[in-house]
Amino acid sequence: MARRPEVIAVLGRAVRTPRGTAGLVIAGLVVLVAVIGPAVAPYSATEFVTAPFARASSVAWLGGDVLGRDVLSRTLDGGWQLLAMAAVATALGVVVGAVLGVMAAYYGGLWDSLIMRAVDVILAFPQLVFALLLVSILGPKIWLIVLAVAISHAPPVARVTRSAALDISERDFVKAMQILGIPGRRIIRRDVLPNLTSVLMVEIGLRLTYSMLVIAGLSFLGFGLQPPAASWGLMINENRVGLIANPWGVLMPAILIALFTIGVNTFTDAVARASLGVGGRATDPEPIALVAREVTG
Amino acid sequence: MTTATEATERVGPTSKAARPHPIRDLVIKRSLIGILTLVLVSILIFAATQTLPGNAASAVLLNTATPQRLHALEVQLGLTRPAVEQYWTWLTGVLHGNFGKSLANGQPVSTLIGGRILNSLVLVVLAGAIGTLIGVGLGVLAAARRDSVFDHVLSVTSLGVTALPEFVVAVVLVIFFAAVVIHWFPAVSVFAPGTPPWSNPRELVLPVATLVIVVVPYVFRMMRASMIDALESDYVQMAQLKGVPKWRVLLFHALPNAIAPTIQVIGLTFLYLAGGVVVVEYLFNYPGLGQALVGAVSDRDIPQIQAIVLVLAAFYIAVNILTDVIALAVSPRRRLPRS
Amino acid sequence: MTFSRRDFLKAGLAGSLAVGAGGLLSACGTGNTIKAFTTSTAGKPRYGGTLRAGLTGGSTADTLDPISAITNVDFSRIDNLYEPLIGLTPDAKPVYVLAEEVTPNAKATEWTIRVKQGITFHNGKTLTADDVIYTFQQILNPKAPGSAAAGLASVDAKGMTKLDAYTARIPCSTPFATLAEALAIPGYSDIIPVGYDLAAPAGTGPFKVKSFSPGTQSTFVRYDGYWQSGLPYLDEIVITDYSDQTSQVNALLAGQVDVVNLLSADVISEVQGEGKNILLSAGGGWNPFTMRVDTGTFSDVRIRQAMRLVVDRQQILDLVFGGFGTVGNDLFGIWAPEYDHSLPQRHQDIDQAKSLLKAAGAEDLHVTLVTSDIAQGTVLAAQVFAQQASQAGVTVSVSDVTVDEFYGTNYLKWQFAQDYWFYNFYLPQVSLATLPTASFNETHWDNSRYNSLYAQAIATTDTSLSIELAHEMQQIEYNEGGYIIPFFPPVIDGFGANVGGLVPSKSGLSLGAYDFKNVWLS
Repeated sequence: MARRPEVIAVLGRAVRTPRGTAGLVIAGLVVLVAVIGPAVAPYSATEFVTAPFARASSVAWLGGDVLGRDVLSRTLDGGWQLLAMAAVATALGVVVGAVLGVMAAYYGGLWDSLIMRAVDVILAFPQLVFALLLVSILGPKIWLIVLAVAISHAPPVARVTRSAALDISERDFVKAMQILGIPGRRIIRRDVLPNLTSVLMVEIGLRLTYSMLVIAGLSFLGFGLQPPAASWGLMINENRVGLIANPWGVLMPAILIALFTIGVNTFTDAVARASLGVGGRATDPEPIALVAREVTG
Repeated sequence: MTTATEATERVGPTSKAARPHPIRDLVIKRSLIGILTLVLVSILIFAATQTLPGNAASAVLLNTATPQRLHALEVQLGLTRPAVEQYWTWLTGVLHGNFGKSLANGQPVSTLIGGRILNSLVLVVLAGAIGTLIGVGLGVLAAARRDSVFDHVLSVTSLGVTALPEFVVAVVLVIFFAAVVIHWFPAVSVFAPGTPPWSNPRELVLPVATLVIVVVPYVFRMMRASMIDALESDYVQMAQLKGVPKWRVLLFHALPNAIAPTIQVIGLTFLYLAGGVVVVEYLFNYPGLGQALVGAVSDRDIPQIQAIVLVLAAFYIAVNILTDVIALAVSPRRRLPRS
Repeated sequence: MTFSRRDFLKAGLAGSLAVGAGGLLSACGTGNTIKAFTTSTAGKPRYGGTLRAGLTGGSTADTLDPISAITNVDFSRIDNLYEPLIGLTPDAKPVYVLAEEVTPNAKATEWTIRVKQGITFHNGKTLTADDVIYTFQQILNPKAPGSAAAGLASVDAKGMTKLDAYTARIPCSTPFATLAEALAIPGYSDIIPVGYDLAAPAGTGPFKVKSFSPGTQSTFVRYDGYWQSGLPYLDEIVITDYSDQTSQVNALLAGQVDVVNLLSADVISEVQGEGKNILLSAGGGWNPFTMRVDTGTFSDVRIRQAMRLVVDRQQILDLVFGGFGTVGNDLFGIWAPEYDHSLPQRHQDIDQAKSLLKAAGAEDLHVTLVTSDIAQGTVLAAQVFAQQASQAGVTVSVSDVTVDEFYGTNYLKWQFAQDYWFYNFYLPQVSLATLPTASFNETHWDNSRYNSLYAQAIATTDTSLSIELAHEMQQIEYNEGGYIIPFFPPVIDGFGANVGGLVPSKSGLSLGAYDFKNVWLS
């Protein structure tokens, strides 16, 4: 009776709700555009097809960007980089944060203090400012942007998982297992972590959208990806000056980012509701059954 | 959707009896830790700036930067001294209230950023207060009329608005209210150094509106969720059965119980605003701390960067402490893992 | 090179410096005519008013010190607080301002500078030769050299003497026939009084400082003792630093500022659509691509020429500058009298480029172009160049670094990068860029024939001889040099309908080289 299907079960429940379906579809559409976009783009992302900021025409369906490149093609080309960066930054941040939070909660004492103090140091900045400082100091390289955003995610995730893990660690069944001498790592892996899934899933959803917005915000301020990369964040920055002449250069990537955010948020909402189960309270694992399983291996 | 308050401390249930002033102790302990954090933060930032391929000298000299001029300026700015010495000079200066001189123009950093701190603070406080009021109000109303059209419209709108990057909101507001469609408000919020930001309130409208729009949905959703929770609790059901009028139930029975998790969110809102002002100040050319930070970073002006970062970090720590104190004070009963 | 009197316009002619400026300017090649540009509806000059300027390009490094002025925006203040011995007309010709006469001896090893009488500084002091000597001593101070020190390197600062109250003798350690030209460059001869104190800056200019917050705002008030009677028109100038063009334009459209600088061509329609005006200057600043000729890929002259041939110069102007600006021919100094207009204009020739690359064994060339946001359009131009180069099989990877990294330890050492220069005359520019002794020899060029030609040209006061020598020098640059100069970018500024007196300038500085003394508000 492994815990993993629990995640699948919750996800499955979420997908079947109207919210979940809607969120998944919307976010999925954006992902689809980003993934197959480069293959269906009418022009390359760097060729000049029309006048700078030319209005939509039969030659360029969404008009021209700052150098007269095709906005449509650049939009289709520029999604996967941003999505990939946001996904990696989120995954990294959530994993590191969750591990730290659980360790702090479970082991307590010195570990707890050390980890939470380090967390506090990073948390002492607004996320955007932290990423901005790091990136502007060390240069706008892709791996650095991802790292900066990931580092800024880890502390809030650590905080949240620590609280949730504390909740669980203090429950009788965990204490019972400790008394029985079952090693901490096993307890963490098999009993504490799985019960954090709903919390983590919600965090992942939130963090993913926030990654997108922070990276886009960095690009907007000029600290994000540099040319000639066709990334949505960069497009928003370099086409900003021609917003009145041809708004699509800015609006198209902004709309796609927004759609993705809405989709993920909605889906996350559905997941949160689904994991609450019946009666509005988190489903309690059966303590005796757990202990029995641990003892019998 | 955080699931637990950060105030869950690792203390047993006897704490309240053993220590008669939990709030005071909390404040003292967290303040001390906060100071330590500030020092760590300043070391971190300083260390990062030492890895720069360029420095303040090249940022100032630009294309007049011959190797000789570069070196001469670096010596003049003290950039050739060992890193530890530079940091130590700065730290001892700070402890005496002297934040050093800007590398870009030699003026005292405290003069450069003093007024800007107030300017940014005004934005943050105004946006935070207005955003909180609106968010709480809407959240309570939506929870009271749950599943009504009103509720659904608000929920969907808030979802959509949260998804918009801040700069999109700002740009849209400017296009509509200032530059193109109608001209009610100034498109940029510029005022002479030395004049307080409230001297011309119209300049504050659009920047604050941008921040409020970005912040309200989060507060609204949290308030609504915890209000719904509270409305379903036995306590409130009892009051309703007793025949207490609905509005009293809302305000005096449900709200106090719902407010605690929302306190966290409100705190987070103010924290978010501290970073959110950067983009807003940039777009409205508002002379605040965020704009100064962007400029100081471009100029590699280390003393300015250090000072601004310290101010931001101190603000963060203060808001965190305040939030926890209020949460502790307001919470009618300590939440246990199982209710 | 001597100046003949007829080359000069007496500086008292205030707002009528209309030589080739103003009126209609058409952008070469695309037929972009600017009929609504530069015609102001502000009527006749009127006294009074406060001019509000919203300028980008500033930062907390803003300075009021003319000795160390660096950015375009620094000059917005410095050009109104101080005045040079010799200035530039809007047509980029030298004109006497504070100086009455600047003449060399026959060997160009000694110059005599006589200043006009009756000119006072803001602190009440009268302008004398002492101030001229003091200013040059500050510029050439070896411990803290000014921005102009490199261009005035031949001047023997210690040997400067006063001939009488208003006349100074400036000796040069090596022949320096072009001193007068060099003095005309903004920032090279702004005169400060003896005992100048940056905390209370005093100059001879039409405005004096009222307040100054670097990176934020500065205000200036009219100087009633200004020596050009009848000027300035304005009572006050308020200059606000903007970090972003969008907010700058918004402010102009909303009427919160009267003039803005450094606009990109993309906002022209927006600005004009809301009833504001555009000031378009042909600009003399140049933004080259720089190739190091001493080592690496570009030491082979065939590869250099190939790179010059892949460029579609007009296309860069069209895409990056809205079609405005002037096409370049890989030579600087376009408005200088020595500029050789007879050299055939280079155009894009992919086939020729390919065959040159093939001959050099570099058919599948990969190079990295280092760019940075150092000037308007730099990064965009890099992207266009990369795309154009791909047509000849050359892969250009654009590496966008931060500005301070660009000007850090690797500055002047990049293999393949860009740069920007304000306008300069021909020989002074050579001394700064294309000699082995030049301070900014970013292409690391050292051509012995070229060097000896320069040595002759700098020592002769015979104009026709120096032009002949210069033409031969340019021929060498044209055939072998390390610069790709595809264009001279336009300078595009904006102003409200009530602003009069702005005249386009070829100096590369905005808003008519910030000549606010001739500006009025209707």
